[in-house]
Amino acid sequence: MTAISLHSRLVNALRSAWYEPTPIAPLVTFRIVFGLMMAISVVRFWANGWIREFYIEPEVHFTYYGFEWVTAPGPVGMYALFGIMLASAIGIMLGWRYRLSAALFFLSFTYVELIDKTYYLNHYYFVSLVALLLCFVPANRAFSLDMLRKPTLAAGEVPAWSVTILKLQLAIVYIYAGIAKLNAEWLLDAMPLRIWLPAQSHLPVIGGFLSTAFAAYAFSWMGALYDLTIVFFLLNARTRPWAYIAVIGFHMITWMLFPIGMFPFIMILSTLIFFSPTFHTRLLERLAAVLRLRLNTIPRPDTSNTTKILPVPRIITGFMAVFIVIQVLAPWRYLLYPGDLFWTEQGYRFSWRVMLMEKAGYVVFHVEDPITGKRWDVMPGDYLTPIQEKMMSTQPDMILQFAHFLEEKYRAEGMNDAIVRAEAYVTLNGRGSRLFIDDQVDLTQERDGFRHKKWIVDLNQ
Amino acid sequence: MAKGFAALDYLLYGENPDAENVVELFDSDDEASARRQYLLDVVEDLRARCDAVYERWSPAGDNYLGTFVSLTGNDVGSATGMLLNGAIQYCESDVRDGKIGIPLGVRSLNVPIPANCEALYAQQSILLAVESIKGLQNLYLGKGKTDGVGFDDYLTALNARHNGDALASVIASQIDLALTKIAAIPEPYSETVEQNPDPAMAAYQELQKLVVLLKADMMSALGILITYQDNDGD
Repeated sequence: MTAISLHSRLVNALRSAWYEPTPIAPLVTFRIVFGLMMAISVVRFWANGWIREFYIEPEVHFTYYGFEWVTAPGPVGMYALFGIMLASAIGIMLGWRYRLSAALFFLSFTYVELIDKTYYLNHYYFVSLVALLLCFVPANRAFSLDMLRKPTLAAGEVPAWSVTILKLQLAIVYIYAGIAKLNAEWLLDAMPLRIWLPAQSHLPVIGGFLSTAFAAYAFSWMGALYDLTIVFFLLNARTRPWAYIAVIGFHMITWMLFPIGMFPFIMILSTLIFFSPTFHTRLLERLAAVLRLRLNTIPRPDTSNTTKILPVPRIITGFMAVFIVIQVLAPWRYLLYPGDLFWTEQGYRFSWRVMLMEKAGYVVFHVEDPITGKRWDVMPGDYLTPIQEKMMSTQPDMILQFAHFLEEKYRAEGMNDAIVRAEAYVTLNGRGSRLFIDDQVDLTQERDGFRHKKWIVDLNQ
Repeated sequence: MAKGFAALDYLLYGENPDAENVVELFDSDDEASARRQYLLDVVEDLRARCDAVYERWSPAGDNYLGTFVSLTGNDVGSATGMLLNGAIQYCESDVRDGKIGIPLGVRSLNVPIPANCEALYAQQSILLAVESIKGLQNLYLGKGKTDGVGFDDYLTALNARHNGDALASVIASQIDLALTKIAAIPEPYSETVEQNPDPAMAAYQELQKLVVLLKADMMSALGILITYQDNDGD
């Protein structure tokens, strides 16, 4: 094959994946299941009392660098935010005022996530990204309440990019989660599963198996293989049914073994988008029958002209290109920092690093009044909730934030320039606990940012 | 109204620590009968509370023991989770801070607070602190009426390591060291905190190391969770 024909084949493939019309049905299913899962997630979060526990009761919040302006708006505001989140999730599901719903959901959800990095989960990041994408894709042009308001919206086809971008998003999640597992501790030591699986040895039937080293290695290697390859098996029509059984099996096992909340269900339902338009059209027709809706809510795709190209605004193509490039690069930013990634966590978040490490720590703050020379200890538990304290004790940027919080607290009490040092010990993947932060450094003199934090003690020192 | 062990401490030792006079206070003093009654009431209250707890746990009573044993797993609400979270909280807040650190002034700008010593009047603060850690030691080693299975055995079974050594024995040694250092603090502690703080600070620091081993290393090795929140692995 000549270079030119390869080039033209690639261009054709890209063109068909982006500009050609494709039946809307997969997008509609995605919209419905995503809206439904989000609505359930919000209700679950609310019912567990987490709005109060995570966002109203804590005295301090750990904001993200650059997002210090994001604050918890008090009880009324918090419940209002979750109310908006719930209503807009239902709006997405029903395709009611769809763009507004998607935008409101994206904004309210992302705002809440930005309040406190204690609660950072990769799947919340995934939800934010998908919600942002849903603001752009025309998922309300079939099987939606918007069509009742405005029948001219109806369309049997959408430009292919609106389905492709969601598949790309899922591919990034899986493939990077797989790449993240390609490290010596995961593959050669079966860590952290060698710690986590035996903790489940009380389970009936499989409990005994889970406490074996073989189980830890098998789960580690299968997990890495699954993450790295599942997207390709889902893309191929012949392997797809088997791949989807693997999707269900994999996520249900993780759901049984680990407290990962809604994530398994979100992934199981999201990956439906890899199925063919015919599959989704049938699915929606069946749903319409169950709900006793008229069938013309799903317009038939126009199949008369298969080489048709739908106009895609350049700004959309440009935005999506930047969106993908950022996500492809972000997981590699850790290479810019010296030291062990799992230990320093510099460049750790927003990279699909899921279930990779067992890390626990303990930190005490030593405060000194520079004028009197008096020293005393501060236990973070006096100001933080148990989950905040646990998360802070292993993450340097949070330790720094808490030191600054203490400095401000003492300044408000009339003590200028309190010296705050952290004595922190951390255990990572079964290594014994060791000093984590240079306990001689006055953290109030250190600034947060993207620069390397020199005051993190080297892991192997 | 003052009650509990602090009230007993005051009644028995507070007004006059001399043993002979104590008998007099309850026997021939003008207020002897009121004092006697108060002492009886305090003791009765303590007993009622202990009985209530015993009743809740007893298989012959509410049988919380049965419920407790059935709570398998590694989450916050499991028996192991509750027991260890509680024991570590006790070691950290009640013993390290409450019995040693706070009287020493580690939480109060280095200003000692002798009045916060446990068993202040009986002058048995250190004795009680030692007994507390012995209780923790028994829990860890599984020692009760007989020498049974403890968390050390659990850690050994998991082959948990600590920088080359067995975590089980590292923790056991640290408990021993903390006990030795606490026992070396001179009584009465209320005077020690002001006049001779160094041995107390040494004990405090060993307790600190023990808390790190328990709260970080042991909990991590056992895979015990501290919250119900969703988690995708740190």
